[in-house]
Amino acid sequence: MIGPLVNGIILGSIITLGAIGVTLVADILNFFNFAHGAIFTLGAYFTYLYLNILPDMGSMFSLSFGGSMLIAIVLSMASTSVVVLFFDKIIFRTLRQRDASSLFLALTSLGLVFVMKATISMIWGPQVHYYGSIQSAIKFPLGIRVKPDEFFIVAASLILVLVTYLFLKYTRLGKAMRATSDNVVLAQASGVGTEKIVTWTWIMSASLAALGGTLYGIEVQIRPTMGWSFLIPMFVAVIVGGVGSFGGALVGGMIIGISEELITSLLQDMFLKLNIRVVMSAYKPAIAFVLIIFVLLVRPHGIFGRKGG
Amino acid sequence: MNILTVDGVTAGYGDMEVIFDITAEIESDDLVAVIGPNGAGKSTLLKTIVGAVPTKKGKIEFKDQEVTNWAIDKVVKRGLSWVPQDDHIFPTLTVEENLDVGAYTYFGDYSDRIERVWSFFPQLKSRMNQVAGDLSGGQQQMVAVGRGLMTEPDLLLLDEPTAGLAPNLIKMMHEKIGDINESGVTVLLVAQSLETFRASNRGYLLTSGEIKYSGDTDELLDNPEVRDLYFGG
Repeated sequence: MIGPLVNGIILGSIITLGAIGVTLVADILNFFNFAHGAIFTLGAYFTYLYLNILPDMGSMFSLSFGGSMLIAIVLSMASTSVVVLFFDKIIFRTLRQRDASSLFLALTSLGLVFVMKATISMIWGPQVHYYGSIQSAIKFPLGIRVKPDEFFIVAASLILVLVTYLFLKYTRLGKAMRATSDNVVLAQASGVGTEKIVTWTWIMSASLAALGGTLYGIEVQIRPTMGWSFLIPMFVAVIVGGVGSFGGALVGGMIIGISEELITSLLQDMFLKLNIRVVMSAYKPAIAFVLIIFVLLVRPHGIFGRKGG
Repeated sequence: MNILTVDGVTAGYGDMEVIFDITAEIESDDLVAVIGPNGAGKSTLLKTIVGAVPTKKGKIEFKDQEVTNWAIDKVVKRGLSWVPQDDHIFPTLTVEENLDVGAYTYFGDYSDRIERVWSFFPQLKSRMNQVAGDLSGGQQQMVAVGRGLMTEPDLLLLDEPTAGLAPNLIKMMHEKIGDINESGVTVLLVAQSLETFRASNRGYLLTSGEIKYSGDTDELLDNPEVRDLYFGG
């Protein structure tokens, strides 16, 4: 059980990064951004691009990568933000100015998914790519096996989640973002410019997605459809935690990650004992769907969500 | 000297016009009330001044600058603050965070402004870390007015600041509005009750989106039609 739990924490930390971006956009821009998975993918590919451009700086500590990866991640977060702001300027801002409904904005973002996925496939091809060499895991007591890169994944996620939390909680701009999510007109009546808040929401959301995509690439591989398969867990994490709740996205992400790993592992063991041949890992998205149905039935506004919010 | 001039303003929502050809002048340091029956357009007038409702005709001047149809945040940065009747706080933010957002346009140390709000509403200081949405209606109204003061406005627009408050809180709020005005802030408020109207120096009586009477508060209260129609004799 400990092994799947550790894997769940690793997966959950990546989902959390994506879920925070989804919840920020849902809360402040008032729509579910279906393109968030594609942004996650774009971030992973930007990192791949910069890794191929930057000189090899060797590896650090016991990781499979070195300083060039850290620089590539920062560049990827910035590049992904620029692309997303471009999409906002030419698509979403125009729709906002025409008072488009949340449903229309969400459907537009769904269309954007296909544009982004096709563009990524055209540029980098449909095949999978790897950032570096395959790494062997370190053995710990109780049969736990963790790769050094996985410590980096969890640490990087936690640090970024903490930095985002502190930003939203204590900075002038962070408070203005939370105020705008509470009441746009009153925030404007306090001198807060809505478009500035929208810009920063996209930057934070895209940066976290780019990091999440890169961390998934480090853990597994990168491919044009990777973000699409992560979209459901990210949305489920937001709904389980409560739309608009930062803590909800964190807890929801971890619940989804750990549940997917633990439940599929338990079912796999059960089927093995019954001599039934089935690859349970293929059914991970089903776990997310079962969880979302359960949460919507029991607590429709999520664990930390506001009623009616 | 006029701080605000509303000159022949017609405004409304979408194709619907709510206020018609409104002309009003507010002098610096004055405390002016807008009264009238429900649906007369009192709140719409305040929203139009701050830019939340588009002006279709006429012009609005604030501090010798035309601000007609300016974005709300731009008008606020010029020194006008608006406290709406409903949705007047940030419910998930703490009391102190509500005040922090109120000071958004100011980049320096604003601890003196927060102290000033505590001096007007001492009850809030002990609840500074409490989520504003969990406060009572009266306390939320204090937070709303406090947030409005954080920009150190030259003109404060208050939309029915005593609506829904208990009688003892209404009296307290009148005193506080008087204190705020005496501290040098011009106040334009929408008054629902005779008591609130009495707290002002001048008034405009709005009916069906048009100004029917204007003048000193005492003059208006001496007018039998005003008393009979709007304050029940």
